[in-house]
Amino acid sequence: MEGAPVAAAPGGAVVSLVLDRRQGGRPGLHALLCGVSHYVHLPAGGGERAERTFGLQQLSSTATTVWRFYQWLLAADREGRLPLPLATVQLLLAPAAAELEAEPAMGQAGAGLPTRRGFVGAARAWRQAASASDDEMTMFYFAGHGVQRQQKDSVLLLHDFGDPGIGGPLVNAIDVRQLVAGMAPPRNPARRIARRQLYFVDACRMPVGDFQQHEWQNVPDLWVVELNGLDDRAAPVFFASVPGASAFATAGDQTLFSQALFECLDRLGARSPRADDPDPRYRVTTLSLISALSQAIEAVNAEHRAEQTFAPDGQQRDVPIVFHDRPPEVDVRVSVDPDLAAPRLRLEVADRLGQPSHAVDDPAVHPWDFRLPAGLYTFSARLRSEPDPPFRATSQLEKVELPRAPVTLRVGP
Amino acid sequence: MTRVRVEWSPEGERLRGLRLPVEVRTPTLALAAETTTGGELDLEPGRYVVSARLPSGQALSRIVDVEGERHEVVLAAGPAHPAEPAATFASPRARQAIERAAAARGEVALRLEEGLRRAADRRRPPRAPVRRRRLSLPGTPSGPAGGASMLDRAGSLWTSAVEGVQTLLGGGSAPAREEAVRPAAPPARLRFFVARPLELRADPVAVDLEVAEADEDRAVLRVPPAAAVRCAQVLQPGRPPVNLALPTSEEAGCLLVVHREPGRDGLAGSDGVPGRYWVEVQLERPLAALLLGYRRNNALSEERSTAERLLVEAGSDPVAAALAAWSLLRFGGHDGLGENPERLRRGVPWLPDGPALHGELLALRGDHGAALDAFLEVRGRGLPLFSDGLSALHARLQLYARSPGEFAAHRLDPVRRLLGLLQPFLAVLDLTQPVTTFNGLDPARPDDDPLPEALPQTAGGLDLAELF
Repeated sequence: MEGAPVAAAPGGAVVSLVLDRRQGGRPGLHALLCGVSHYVHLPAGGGERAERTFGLQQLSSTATTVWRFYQWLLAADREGRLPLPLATVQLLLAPAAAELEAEPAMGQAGAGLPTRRGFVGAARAWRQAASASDDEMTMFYFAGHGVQRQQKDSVLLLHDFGDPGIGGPLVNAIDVRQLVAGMAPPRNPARRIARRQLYFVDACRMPVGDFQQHEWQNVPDLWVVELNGLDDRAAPVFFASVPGASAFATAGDQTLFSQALFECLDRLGARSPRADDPDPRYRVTTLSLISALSQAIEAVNAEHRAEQTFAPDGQQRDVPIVFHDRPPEVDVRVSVDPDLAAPRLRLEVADRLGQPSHAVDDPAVHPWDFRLPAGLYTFSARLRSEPDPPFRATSQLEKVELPRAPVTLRVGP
Repeated sequence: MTRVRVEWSPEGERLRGLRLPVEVRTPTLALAAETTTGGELDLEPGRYVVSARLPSGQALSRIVDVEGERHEVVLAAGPAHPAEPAATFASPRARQAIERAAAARGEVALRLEEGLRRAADRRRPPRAPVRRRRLSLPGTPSGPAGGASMLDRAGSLWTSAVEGVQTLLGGGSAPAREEAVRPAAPPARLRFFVARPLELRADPVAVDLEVAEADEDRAVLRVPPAAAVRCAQVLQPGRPPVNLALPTSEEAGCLLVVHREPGRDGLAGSDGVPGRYWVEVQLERPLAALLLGYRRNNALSEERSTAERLLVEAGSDPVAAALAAWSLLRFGGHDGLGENPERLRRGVPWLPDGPALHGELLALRGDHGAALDAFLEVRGRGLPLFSDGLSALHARLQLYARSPGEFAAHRLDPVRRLLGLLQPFLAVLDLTQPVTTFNGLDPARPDDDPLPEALPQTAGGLDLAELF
């Protein structure tokens, strides 16, 4: 079921299970999604002001980002493109008022509040669902404020961060390292847990000076971390910023990291399978995503004049994340050499089976930019009137593959 | 079946003999097979796409129709990065330095030409036989790629500019080329230490450097082999000192690549806003350099296959083996490590990465007692040479320190002490660098404090400006 009202667990903790399609015995994908734009104890949060706010302000796009990731998961599941059927989704959202106005459905989905209590409850339920078998899969996405106490460290700040009624500035926060460690395979071989786990941490990792002055500003344990048994997980962690840098966002829209991520999941990260793979579909995998994200973030930065950064971490065993029913579209740029011949030519493109795929017949345009599905193509430059020395028609067989395919056709001296 | 051999013909001594990972794909681009350049494989006759990639991103690709008993495929290079071959193994940051230096050189040449034209207009001299060469920067349509040609062009442009000045001045004695037109290299010093930072010791040491290559924007220094944990320290005014671990062993040295970056207006040191240096470590062994290059450029598929090969081919080179092992651990390939981590720990008593690797492998296997013993050995050897090692060590020790129920109390005391020694390094560690890199004037006491705007006279070490 989707969009069910939030259920209350024993003890009053809110469990934000918005989707539960578990079918006994069949492995599935379990998602824990948490988007925090509204911080109740930061300025303009409406709650009692935190004793120390560390310069942090309300956010305007992080809840929307997580909501869109949720929608992406639902769509990919409907289309049968996820590695496993979507089984459970724990959704925690604290949107800003403007975000709710722009996407009212966010307020009607039955999401829980990402308070410390809400997150702990959701995380425990998520881990329990992921413990049904070793064949389960998990995805985690957090977008909101994050800080670091030291290098290789990321602490996620929750909706009630800075509550002056509770001691210590980091009590309503989550240590990512603890989150990941707590999902490790247990030593007891009778106990199971998903071996494919993906973590997306879309938050700043700004070093807050005050935090660093106190060596052990402890973040309370999310759960008891038992030391692992054989840890053969695929557990990549995708950090949206390298240590000491900010994560950037388009105000009121979504974060720049998520824009790049969606571009990679939907196109740029797609790779062809092995020839002996029974599943012939293109797929985005752990490694292809890491490789493609760097380029996608460069493009997003260029578009928005930002300095978004990205750092992969964790165990990067290569596993599929999402499949594509068709080869990805590739940006193709065709030029002729010498370029002054361009007005005298028209371009024809045929696929590997000889079927026409694309044509350009505009003397005013050069080079020619268009998109083609990845594959092999014959690019032919034909003269508008023959003969036309010193230029000549030509054809070339070329590979069209991500990230982009530049093609140069030599048509004259 | 057809026996297919794949070759490539690179520019430059360092690239020749390098075996790049090669992918062979069907016409639908499905992956049919993998090999390396210089390698052979059997394929059914038909059409294939054969491709490889350099760390800097340059693609080498051929579409071939395989037939007959034997077939050779020679991979051709696609559009080269403007900074090839100098940038083959470099990180994106280093390539940025190379590109900025090339762009600045173009700006300098254009300004000199403009200056000469204005001087000519003012003086209305007779037409002077000034030799002018059309400026072509590497990678622009009119210029071929290559760092060497960049130097040639820059050098010839300086020559023609000076000759032009001489002619305009009526043939009087012209100032020396360096004084007249060459901007001063920014100040910086390079020092070396034998580092035992976990014992709070770092002793200066002399290193017999060899200048392997040098041009106007880049110098390559060869650090000779040594079975010791050493670091190079770069001192630049106004910036925190940077310490780089030197991944050398008895079997192989390493290279320090010094890139000179222009100042704000493109002219290093000429406007009061000095340029700077970007220094990067490269391994001497070509396959290890290739792996490090792929790692720096997030070419993970190539990194993984290169690491698998390097682990086999490292032989008695423990540093190369450690580099390969860290990569494979990250890709979850600890099954393929075999006994290598234990061999590095027990057989190479000076290498910190040995016990760190073995500890991490044991921890992944769930043998935490033995892992703890291994991790604690690191203290006596020093900081791991690779940042993966420092990260893994710190993360595991933190986890163990917060698991009092798992270990006897007396076993956790040294864990907490070692954590206390490690934490200052984690605070200033540059995790974007695969080789351990951290800030601090004293390599045993890291910090982020920048140096003053003028380097102290007593700094010692090699004057980097003398390289340029």
